[in-house]
Amino acid sequence: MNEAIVMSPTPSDEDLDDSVPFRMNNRQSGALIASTIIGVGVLTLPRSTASYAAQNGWISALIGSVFAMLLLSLISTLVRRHPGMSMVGFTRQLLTPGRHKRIGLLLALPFLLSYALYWTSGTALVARIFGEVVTTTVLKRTPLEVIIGTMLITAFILVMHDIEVLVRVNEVLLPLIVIPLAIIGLSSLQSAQLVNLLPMFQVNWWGFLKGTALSTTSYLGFEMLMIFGAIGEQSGKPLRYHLLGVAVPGLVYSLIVFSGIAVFGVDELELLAWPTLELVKTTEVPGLILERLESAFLAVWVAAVFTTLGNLYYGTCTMLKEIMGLKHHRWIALALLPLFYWTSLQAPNVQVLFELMSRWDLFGLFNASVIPLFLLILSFMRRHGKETPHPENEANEDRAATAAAAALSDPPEMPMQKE
Amino acid sequence: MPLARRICPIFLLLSAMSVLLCGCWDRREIEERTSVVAVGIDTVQGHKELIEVSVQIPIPIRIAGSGGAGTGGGNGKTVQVESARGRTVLDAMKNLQKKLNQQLFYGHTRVIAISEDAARLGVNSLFDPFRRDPEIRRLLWLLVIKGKAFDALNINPNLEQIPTVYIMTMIENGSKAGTITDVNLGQFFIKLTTDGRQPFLNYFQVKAGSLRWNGIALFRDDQMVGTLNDEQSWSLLRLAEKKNGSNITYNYDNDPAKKVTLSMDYLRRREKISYKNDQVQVHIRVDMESNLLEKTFDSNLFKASEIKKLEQGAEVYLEKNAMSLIQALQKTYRTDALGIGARVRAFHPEIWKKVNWNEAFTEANITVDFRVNLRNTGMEMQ
Repeated sequence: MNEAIVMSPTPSDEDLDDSVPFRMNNRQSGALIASTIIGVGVLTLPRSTASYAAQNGWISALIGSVFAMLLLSLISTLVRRHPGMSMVGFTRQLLTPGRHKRIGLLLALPFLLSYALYWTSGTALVARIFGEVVTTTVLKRTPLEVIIGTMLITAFILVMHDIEVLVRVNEVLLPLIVIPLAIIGLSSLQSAQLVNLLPMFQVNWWGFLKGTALSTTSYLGFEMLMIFGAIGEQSGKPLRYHLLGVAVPGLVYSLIVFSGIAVFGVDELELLAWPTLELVKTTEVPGLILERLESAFLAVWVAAVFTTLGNLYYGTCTMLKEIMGLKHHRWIALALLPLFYWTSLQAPNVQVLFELMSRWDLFGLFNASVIPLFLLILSFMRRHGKETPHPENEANEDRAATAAAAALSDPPEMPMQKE
Repeated sequence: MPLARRICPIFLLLSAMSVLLCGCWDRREIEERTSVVAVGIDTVQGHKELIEVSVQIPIPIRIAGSGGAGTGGGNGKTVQVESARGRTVLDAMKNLQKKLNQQLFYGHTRVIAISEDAARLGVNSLFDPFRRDPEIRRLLWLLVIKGKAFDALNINPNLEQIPTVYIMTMIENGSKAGTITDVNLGQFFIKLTTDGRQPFLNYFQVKAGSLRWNGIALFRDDQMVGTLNDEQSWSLLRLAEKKNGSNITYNYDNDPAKKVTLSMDYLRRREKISYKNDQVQVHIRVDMESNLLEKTFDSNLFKASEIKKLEQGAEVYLEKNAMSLIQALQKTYRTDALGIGARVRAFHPEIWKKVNWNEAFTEANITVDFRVNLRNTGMEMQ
């Protein structure tokens, strides 16, 4: 069998290990963020946003993406202040008092484990929701365990590969996910009714704000940058691409919610278990070969779930590897597989699953906001990373944040201080 | 080494094939599946707790073009209708399955017919399985049948091989022409759940083996409350769905001997809603264009006043029908099939909050103003 590997034109993992360490370019890191975000949430998003923001659901989804961008820019700044380091590295560094590295690890552990727990449970929940959708809608006679197992094993195979493979898979699949979703969102507007979208801004403001904060949770996944930022490119305008990684799902999600509300109205939406799928079912594309668009849609959705699941899986493995100081994450991946499988089967029914999902979302929101903020403040106080904020660099960040002027050439590499 | 090189790809190919080509171990051939194309739901006389479900199943071998030459002709039926009773829809379907050699597949259902009696009892309990089953399309047609839904599945139209296709095309073409409402299952569900918009469905009658559109069945929440006659139904289509409705034939000068027929096209609707004197004021203005299609008397159409008179006659006739519709909706059936409530909620939320719409609708002051523009008189000048 070794012969076959040598013969194959594509480089194997061994080849990659010998070459220069892989660096993810800015576009790839944006794609990674975007395809992590777009996942199981697509199917339920219209219902969840409509339930708390009524007719304003799509606005709340839009504002939610802006909130998510704010949180992401925290993480992005944090990552850029500690180049080449993942969350494990810089959390330890920031929390190490003097030279006591052991204590630093001990102090960092709660933060890291919080993330690890969040991603572990996330992987399991995503796998379970995937299984539920597939068994209730298309493969009704296939046991849930088989679907979940198949998905987890597929993700496992991805995780066994090098990081470059993961990044490229994300990059390739992203347009295959985004374009069909946008087409479905737009073509379902044929049965839209303006009446369903109005009145706007007739909800109480407190509820609306709460809803918007909650809709930020649909964009969770951007916090993967805490791990994958370590291999990200330093030059160019990383922040801009990171933000674009949230903006793309933000627009797609808002469009889907908009169509959902316009077609079904708020009252009907709240009764639908998988509103986006129903949206596909009500859509008649003239002259289409496939009379039932939902199977085609589910195929796209499988890709979306796969990237989310794969990234969460990979992120968990990488984090645990770095905590334990191992060279490879493969044994961890293998050990996690039965854990994911077992955890995913814990919820007794879909109702409980949705309940768990909403709690997981809140947990994720905490992880993605409070922890990065705390670390960033700490990072500024301890003056790790960049020695003194360079005025030129500051200006560059501003530009990136507003995603304006692209004309200027890349700024010179800043002198980085490493401990 | 060369041997290994040659064998390895073959081995890989074989192992890949063994994985990829064995995907059919639990296949279900299309012949082994019996597809249902139409479902009928009836009440059972004398047994209040029972309902009867009928299904129409096409017989592939009898359908021309499918290869069964010779057997397709003659008086061989192309479909089979089976029915069974049960306490719920699924219970009845289960009993139905007992009669059949193959598992029924409901994913291809295109028409669901319910009898008037069943509709009057409330449809939520009947449609619950259709909402839950992912195979059921939201784009299938729903209709209410005067008498038994079973009869509607048993109609024998010679124009189409499968009666269900006949019903489908009837509704599709009717709705294209603007004379029949095209409420499908999904839209019906939406109207059932949405405040301020009551559902309505096509109402059909079966007479001597043929199906006839007989107006519109009105619902209040999930219960059918009554029917509209043809003219009222077309008024409803004009006011609620911006459909053209049918041609109109009216008496010229109130003289029953003089009849005029006008076509109805390019409908535009404007609606003004306000709140005055503790009452919701709704004024609907409808602009239409029309052509003269028929006239049973002589008159000089070169005179502008004559054209004006024809237009006015049409306006009066249309307004009379619309008012009779509104009267029926407000007073007799107390159901907002026009969907005014939804527009009040959307465009005038302050009024919506002030009133209880179900009450306010019956007391609302609804006025209708039709404007007809007679554009031409066909190939005849006089």
